[in-house]
Amino acid sequence: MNKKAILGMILFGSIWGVAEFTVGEMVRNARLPAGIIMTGIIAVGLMTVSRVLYKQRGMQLGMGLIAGGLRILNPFVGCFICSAVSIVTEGALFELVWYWFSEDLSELKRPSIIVSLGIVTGYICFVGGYIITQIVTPMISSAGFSISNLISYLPHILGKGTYAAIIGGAIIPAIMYLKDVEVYRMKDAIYYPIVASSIALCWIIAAVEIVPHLFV
Amino acid sequence: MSPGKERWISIVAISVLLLGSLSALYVHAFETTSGDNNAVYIDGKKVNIDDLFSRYQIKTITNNISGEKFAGVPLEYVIKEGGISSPEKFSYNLIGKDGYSKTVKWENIKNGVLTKDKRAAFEDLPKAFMVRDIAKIEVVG
Repeated sequence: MNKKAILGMILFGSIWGVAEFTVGEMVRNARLPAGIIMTGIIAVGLMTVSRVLYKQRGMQLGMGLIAGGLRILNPFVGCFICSAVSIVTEGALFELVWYWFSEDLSELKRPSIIVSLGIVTGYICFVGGYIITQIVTPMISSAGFSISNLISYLPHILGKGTYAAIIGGAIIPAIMYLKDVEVYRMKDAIYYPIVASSIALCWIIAAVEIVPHLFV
Repeated sequence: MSPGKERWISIVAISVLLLGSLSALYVHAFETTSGDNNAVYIDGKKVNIDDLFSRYQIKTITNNISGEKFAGVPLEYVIKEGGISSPEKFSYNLIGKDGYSKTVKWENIKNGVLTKDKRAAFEDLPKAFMVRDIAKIEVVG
């Protein structure tokens, strides 16, 4: 992975991480379906934007690790362990789905294929992230994991995934319009300062969110 | 793109939409045919929520993961309302109206409350265990 892509990965991972405890918290407070919105729009949206702009495999798993790490740093909002586990899983599943397509995305031309890919990506990321969370979270808590709990709730998870699939099917075709943006051709003197200052801004927002809680 | 790959992604997309829709229908059917809005079944015994709240003192707990506060009847008393002898020997399966369930130990029960809107909340367990709209509590092994 070249330097521009690495910096892009840090930027998009940071935006995702910060969005999880700023936008995510707003969505939860508004009693909206946070999981569906955060996965279907924020996670799948940001990962697709980065994949389409940089055309680089592995970047989205890296983004998931950065966003998940950032989420762990803020244990004061919601269930941070569940969120971090879910974020990293979503990054890995995105890589898995998109692995079957060429790195330059030249195969993705027909709208029906792009919509199908959006549906599959949204569904797999949401359902996979949800299931892994339901396994890992009890495992690290004092109550422990029970397979019957997961099986009895599986229809619910599979059903909810439909909404994430529909969102994925709608936003991925829209993001595909960025396919012709040439990030690698941007002048270094413009690219690096913009990306570095955007990363700094994300981490400042994260610090502003986290630090006050440390003194409560 | 090879025709095989094209067909594959379309078939998977249609399959996940079908799977999701059928699962949602199943959940909807389950949700609308079960449960009593003002009662919880503890090991088969119907316990009225208003009775619980009139009989026991409300306790406020703070979840040590999220910092959220919850007020309700201690789950320990709710379980005892079910007439279970030696409750400390068992685990408990909390089952929501939508089918969501979580199994917790007696130690967790002692740190938990049942809120007025029938949600379980615990001091020491993450949000995933806070089953909403509890329909029944089953005794496990």
